[in-house]
Amino acid sequence: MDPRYLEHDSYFLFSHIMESIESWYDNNSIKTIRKNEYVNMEPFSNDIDFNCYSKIGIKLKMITEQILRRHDEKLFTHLKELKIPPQIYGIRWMRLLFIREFQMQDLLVLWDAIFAHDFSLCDYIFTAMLIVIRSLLLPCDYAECLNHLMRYPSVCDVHYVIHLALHYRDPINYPEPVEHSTLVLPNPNAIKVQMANRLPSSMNGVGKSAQSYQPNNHDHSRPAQYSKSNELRNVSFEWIEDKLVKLQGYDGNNQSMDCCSELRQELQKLKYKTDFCSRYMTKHLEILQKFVNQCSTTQSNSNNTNNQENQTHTEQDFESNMDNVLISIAELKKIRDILRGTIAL
Amino acid sequence: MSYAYLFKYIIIGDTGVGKSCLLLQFTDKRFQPIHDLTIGVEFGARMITIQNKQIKLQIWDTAGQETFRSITRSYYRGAAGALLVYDITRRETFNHLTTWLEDARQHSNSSMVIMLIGNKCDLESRREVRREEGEAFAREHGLIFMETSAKTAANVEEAFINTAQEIYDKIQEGVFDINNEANGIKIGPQLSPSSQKSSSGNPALGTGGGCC
Repeated sequence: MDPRYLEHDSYFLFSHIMESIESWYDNNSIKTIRKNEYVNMEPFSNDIDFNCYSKIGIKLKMITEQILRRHDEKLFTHLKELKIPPQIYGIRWMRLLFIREFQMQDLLVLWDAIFAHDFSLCDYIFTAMLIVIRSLLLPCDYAECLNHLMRYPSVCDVHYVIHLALHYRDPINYPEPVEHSTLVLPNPNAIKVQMANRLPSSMNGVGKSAQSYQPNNHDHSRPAQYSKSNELRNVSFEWIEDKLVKLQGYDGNNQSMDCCSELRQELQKLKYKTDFCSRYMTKHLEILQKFVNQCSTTQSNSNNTNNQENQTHTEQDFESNMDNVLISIAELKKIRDILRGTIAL
Repeated sequence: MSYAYLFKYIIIGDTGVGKSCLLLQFTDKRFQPIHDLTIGVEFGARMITIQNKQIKLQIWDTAGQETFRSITRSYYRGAAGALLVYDITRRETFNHLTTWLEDARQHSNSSMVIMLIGNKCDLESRREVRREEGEAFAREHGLIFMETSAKTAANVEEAFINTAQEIYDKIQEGVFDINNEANGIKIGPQLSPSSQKSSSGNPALGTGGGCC
């Protein structure tokens, strides 16, 4: 690229983008829709009496009612029951091509994907972004949900979002991604706002929210399946050991004896590894839990005192605790890799 | 988490007058000198106390730009309070108040409480709109008036709380129909019988459990 023509090139690229997404900026209402089909753009009340809305409004309605509903009916229903129409957060997501929802380094990767395919991928990225934070959204009420949607959490793996979007668009050529981290950290501002909304005395509420921040809900898209495999693991060691003893007693030849003792050794190692990982995970989960609890107490303290000095003090605390959280997450990722077998204990 | 009432607010006014900064100062107690342009709407919530009662405020901060007008209009209805904001250092934002007020009155419910706010009162040297002018406008149109600074936090709390106080008083007077959610007021989910005494003694209030 010639630096002398930087402005020209930028303008050329910008116009090309805008040619594709011009209609998203069209605020003119379309009035030809039948009355019972209009989008609920009024977050305050049910009885909407206008039947006109913009092109982006219709597009977002289509995305949630068709793509999101197909892939995550539960989340779709949850947002619908809370009366959070996609237009509230979605207009910004789409019009700015997700620029406010991702860090710059992630955004470049995301934009690369959009430009490499076409702008219809945005519809699927939109859906993937919702599904990736489903475990944050599902336990939340109206205000908390809006906080997460308007202050989108930092998704640790933008590649996962892209692969999920590609899979939703073209499931035959793009298999469902499984190998990526789906860890989601709530936006610190969203936590602050959320804590400020809680009464200082409502410890129940804090406990509930702390639980939903625990990053052990690794695979958000299939929580049910995960808990099932956990149950299996609890019984499997005893079960295998039992079978091994029976096998040894059943057939007395040397070869199978060796085989059994080898298996038993492997089992011991596996037991040790699982035990180690679970203790290690517990430790780091406790650190994360402590952080979330601390957030809530400092917030309620500062609510009470309203002291400027206190405020900056808590800010600093918050920053340093954030570092601890990031370290814990890195450690938890390491454990994941140990369990997966890609690194040694 | 219990609250006696939930009030819904809307913040309106020209672009760049500091609507989002007022909200940020009120909910997060911080000021961001460089703020991103609001696209569509922003949302914030906070709990306050009025006469020993917990009140939850849900605040919709709208985009000031003309192109978003069709979106913001849909947020008027169902708001119990509106903060109409202008910038004391920019005369034109004051001149546009009539248009904003007409818009608000036309699209909102008639009992909505409107607070007029002259923001950026920390910039005294660049002032273009005198305080008296703001007061006169408010008197003429039956609004409450305050000058604030989202930067120094001066009067920010008061602006939101006084509006809530006015709404609360109107509820006590029976001006607001609190059973109609379109008025922007919801009864809290755990309103105990003892706390109901003062609220004009309507025994059916407790059933209006809210989502938040």
